Amino acid sequence: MGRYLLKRLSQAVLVVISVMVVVFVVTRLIGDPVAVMLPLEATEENRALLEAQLGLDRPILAQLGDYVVDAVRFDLGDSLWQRRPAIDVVLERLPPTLLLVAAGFAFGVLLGVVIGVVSGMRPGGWVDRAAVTFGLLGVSLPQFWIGLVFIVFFSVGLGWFPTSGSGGIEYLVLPAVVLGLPVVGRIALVTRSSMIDELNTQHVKDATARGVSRARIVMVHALKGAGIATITIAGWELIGVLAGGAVVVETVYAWPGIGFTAMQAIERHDIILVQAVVFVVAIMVVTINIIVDIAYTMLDPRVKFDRVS
Amino acid sequence: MTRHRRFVGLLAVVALLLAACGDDEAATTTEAPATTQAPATTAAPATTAAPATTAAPEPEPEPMGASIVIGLGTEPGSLDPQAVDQFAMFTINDNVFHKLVSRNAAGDLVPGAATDTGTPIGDTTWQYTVREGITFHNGEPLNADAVVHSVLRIIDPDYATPLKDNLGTVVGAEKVDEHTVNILTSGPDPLIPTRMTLLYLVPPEASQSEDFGDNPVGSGPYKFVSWERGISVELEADPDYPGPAPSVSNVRFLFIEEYGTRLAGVLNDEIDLMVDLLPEDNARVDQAWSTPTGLKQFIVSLNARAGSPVEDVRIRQALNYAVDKEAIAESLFSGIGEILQGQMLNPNWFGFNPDIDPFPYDPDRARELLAEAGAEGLEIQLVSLVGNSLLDKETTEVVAGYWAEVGVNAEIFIPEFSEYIDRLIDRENRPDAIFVPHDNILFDGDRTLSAYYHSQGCCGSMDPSEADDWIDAGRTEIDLDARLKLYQDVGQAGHDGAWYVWLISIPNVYGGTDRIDWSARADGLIHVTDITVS
Repeated sequence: MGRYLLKRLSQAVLVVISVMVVVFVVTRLIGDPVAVMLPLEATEENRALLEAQLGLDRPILAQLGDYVVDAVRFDLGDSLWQRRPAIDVVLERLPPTLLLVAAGFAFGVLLGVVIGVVSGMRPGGWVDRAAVTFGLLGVSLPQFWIGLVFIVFFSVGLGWFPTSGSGGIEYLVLPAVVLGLPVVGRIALVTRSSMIDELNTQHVKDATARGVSRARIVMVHALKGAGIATITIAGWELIGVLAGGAVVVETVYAWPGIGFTAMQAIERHDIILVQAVVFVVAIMVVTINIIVDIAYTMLDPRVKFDRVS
Repeated sequence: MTRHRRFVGLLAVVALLLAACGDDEAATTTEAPATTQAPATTAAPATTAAPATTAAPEPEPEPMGASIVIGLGTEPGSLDPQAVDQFAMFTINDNVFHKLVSRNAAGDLVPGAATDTGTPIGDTTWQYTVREGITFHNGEPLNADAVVHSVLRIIDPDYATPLKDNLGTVVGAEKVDEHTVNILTSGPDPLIPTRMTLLYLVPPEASQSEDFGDNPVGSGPYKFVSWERGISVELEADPDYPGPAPSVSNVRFLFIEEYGTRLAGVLNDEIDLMVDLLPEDNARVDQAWSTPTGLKQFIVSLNARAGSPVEDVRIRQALNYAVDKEAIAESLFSGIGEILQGQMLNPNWFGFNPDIDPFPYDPDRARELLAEAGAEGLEIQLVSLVGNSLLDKETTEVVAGYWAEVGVNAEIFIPEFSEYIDRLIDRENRPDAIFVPHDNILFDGDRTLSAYYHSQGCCGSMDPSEADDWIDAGRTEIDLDARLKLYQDVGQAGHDGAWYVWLISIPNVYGGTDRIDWSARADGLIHVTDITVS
């Protein structure tokens, strides 16, 4: 296990470095931050001056070299927009995102598993059909739209929750639910089909023949088998929620996390801050991947560390 | 075995949660009696953390005045009033800081921290007397030293602020006595009073702190309280500020970039006043306001240089006659846009020429002129941008549509924003036509005309002419009447040459609840002292 972890960690470092190089090059090729920071009519002289002050006038390879050297020391440069270390901005916005992602993901996985199990027990029944429809809706409705619809319905219409912002638990409910909806959908669909498969396996039939209760069969025998597929998809969902859903949902609900920050940074062509956000998110994504892989082996001894890698 | 049991237990919890989610109202009502103590204790911090959003009627024992919430679309990067060129920063800090010269609600220059708008002494000096008795919120006096410090700080090349540009010719400042200060310029500069409206005065001691951008200290009617990054900035009325106490004692500026969410905040009475209301939502909010005149000028620059496909003035006139500007203002902008008066300058900017009339909508005249010029079936490229200003792309498309009706085919090209800028400022290859949303925070013709009416300006598309000389002369003409005449002549020359298609001017639009009484200022800023709460 130790060797395996070491191998996975070194791969992870490589992935993060590659992502950073790609993001570095791409952000410099598309969009010039100076154009956004100055008025339309700024003179060429002023543009050149600002470019030099930001160090953007140097060859891209030289910039990249400096960037790597600084990044090793965890210095990702100063945000152009906020004029302070970009890593500080991201770390400051990390806790709200982790809270939102944890809440949304927990909601998504728990509800998804329940729906999947219930509907998988009697495929084709009305509960199943309703669950599948709900699952498909969760997957297909755009979060941006559903987020605004929820605000109009639950906040403006019913007055149950504040429209946006952060503070107490009442601020968390709507964004977490919207963030979790696609997760509910996909987890439910995957759990449902795994459950159907599991309930038809020989060991479940044997258990039924032995007179084991229905509840015990579903909860213990079938769900354990279905768990591996669910965990795989849950790992992917967590990454999707963190790297994608959070950007949309945080923007709609003005939730002060890194997704909202990424959006603000992109709008302002703050390439330094964009890089810092990507850096932190990339680290979290590779970490989640490693954890998911380890979780497989815990659940299913047939999966060996060396085979997974 | 134990693991299984745990799992079953977990599922049971989920089932309970599900039942709770199924009926939120039931869940909250059953919870409340179960924990009689808990709701009170949890409710208390929630209201203190967000007193404005929950709109508690009496959150404090002795409220000085009301609390309001203002919804902004963007968050400033810094609250150091000299550091960033961002409208949100100006909107907040205009309540916190003094300037030597201010503007009244109509946009006219009025004394700020100084006793008047400035007196020129010789060619390169403007003298100001600072009003006595103004102190910063940390106790530092606002005197000549503070002004000198503020000037030197903003023009320091190492400080590297984009706001330095607004000070133009200013090269320094010197103290004459405790309350008198000279602003020094590199040459005669009639714009100094205007430029002083963009120089916030900062306290010499506090502004040297590393975190001045996080904890700004000003001398205005409101003082900075806190900044929750990504969420809001809070200000409170300074009880020691001279004059009657304002109606609003506490204000929170919320940062909500997503338009629909901001609007929902107003509809839900969480936000009292929001910026950038879309014209089509005017009727949905309790109240809507717009600035008395437009702040953003929509124009299409035409390449009047020799060799361009639109070099013939008749073609450029035809492109003006072809566009129904009133229809754009009425339909596309729901009536909030005003037609530009055949010039780029707004009626309340210095240099406006009241004798110029806009080109009327006359497609027949346009076709005649095109026929005379032998330009039927003309094909040109129209460069534009998207998402920079309200309905910018849509306006461009409408203009191209009007041109098509008189037989001019404009191919619209919308590049990435920095590519757009490259084309706008390319001195060598001017685009045939380029849509420009122009604003001028100085409210003075110099910046606009230097950029767009001068053949050597960043964005001018005309051959050198007398107008270049007039603009150059105006830049150093201290006599107001003489300078006005120069700018009005430039405006006339531009109109004669049909250098642009002047479209419309768009005001800033705000929406709010009926809880507040307010009217919008010409400069688009929000002075919280102007707001009264009923």
